[in-house]
Amino acid sequence: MKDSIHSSHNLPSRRTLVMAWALLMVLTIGTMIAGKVTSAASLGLIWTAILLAISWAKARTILQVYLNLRAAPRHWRSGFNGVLVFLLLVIFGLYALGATGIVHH
Amino acid sequence: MSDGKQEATLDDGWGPLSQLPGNPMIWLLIISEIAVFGAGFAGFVIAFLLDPETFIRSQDTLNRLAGAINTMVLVTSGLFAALAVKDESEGRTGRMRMWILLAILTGLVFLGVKYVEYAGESAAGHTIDTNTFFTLYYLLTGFHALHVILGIVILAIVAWKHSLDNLETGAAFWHMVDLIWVILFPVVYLLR
Repeated sequence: MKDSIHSSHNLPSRRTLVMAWALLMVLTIGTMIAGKVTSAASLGLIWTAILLAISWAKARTILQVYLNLRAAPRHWRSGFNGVLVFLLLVIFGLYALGATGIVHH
Repeated sequence: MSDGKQEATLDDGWGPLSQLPGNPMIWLLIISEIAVFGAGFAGFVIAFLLDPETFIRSQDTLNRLAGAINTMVLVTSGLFAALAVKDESEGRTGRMRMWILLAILTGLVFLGVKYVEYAGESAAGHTIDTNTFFTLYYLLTGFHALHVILGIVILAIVAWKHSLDNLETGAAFWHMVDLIWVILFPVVYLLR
């Protein structure tokens, strides 16, 4: 036996799971728009920021609902979200260095 | 007081990891995978900065629409896996196996789309040796695809040797594969 999370499992309802899936599908369409999937044009800083923000929302939905992190204590939820935000900010920061011409190859 | 006693005896030696849903081992794996792929993504963007012309030219040959469709396929597969866990928790083994079968089939669709992508790139002469972009593209997407294959095997095993803990742990691996892809896709296919 483990603690209460393990014994009760506290699983999301089917409705919550389907709503999360619907949100993920809508966010994926958002990714296609922000990422200009049918175009070769550069994204620019603003669309890149939107694209990564949408990616954060998708990853967070998967963590919270599919992986059921919503049943875990706040420090775990904040910790995983913090790592996610950090990773996406690093990616955005590096991209911005190139896009603004601060870094030249 | 009884809560404190319960916490002390039910911890199973996993410490704070025992507060997470499912088997603590799967969370160790999820944390490790986020770190490994996270470093890979940061490395990819740094390589992009060092040679943007090659990266943009190479990335334009990718099938971005196929990558987006595969995102939808994978999140749908994740829903099926989560529904399987729900049915297992209610003792509905038949329905659980149906959802797992659908999750596996959609996982195979993902791999099929990936194969078509690889075949297209290969036919265009773009191999792992072509340039840094394609080296990283094949390594990151290939490593992820191996996780999909492993995930399919794990889902089949937990559907066979089923218990709620097994299902929850197997599905958690599948969702982790999903989690990595929703970051991999924009970074490798779209960022330019």
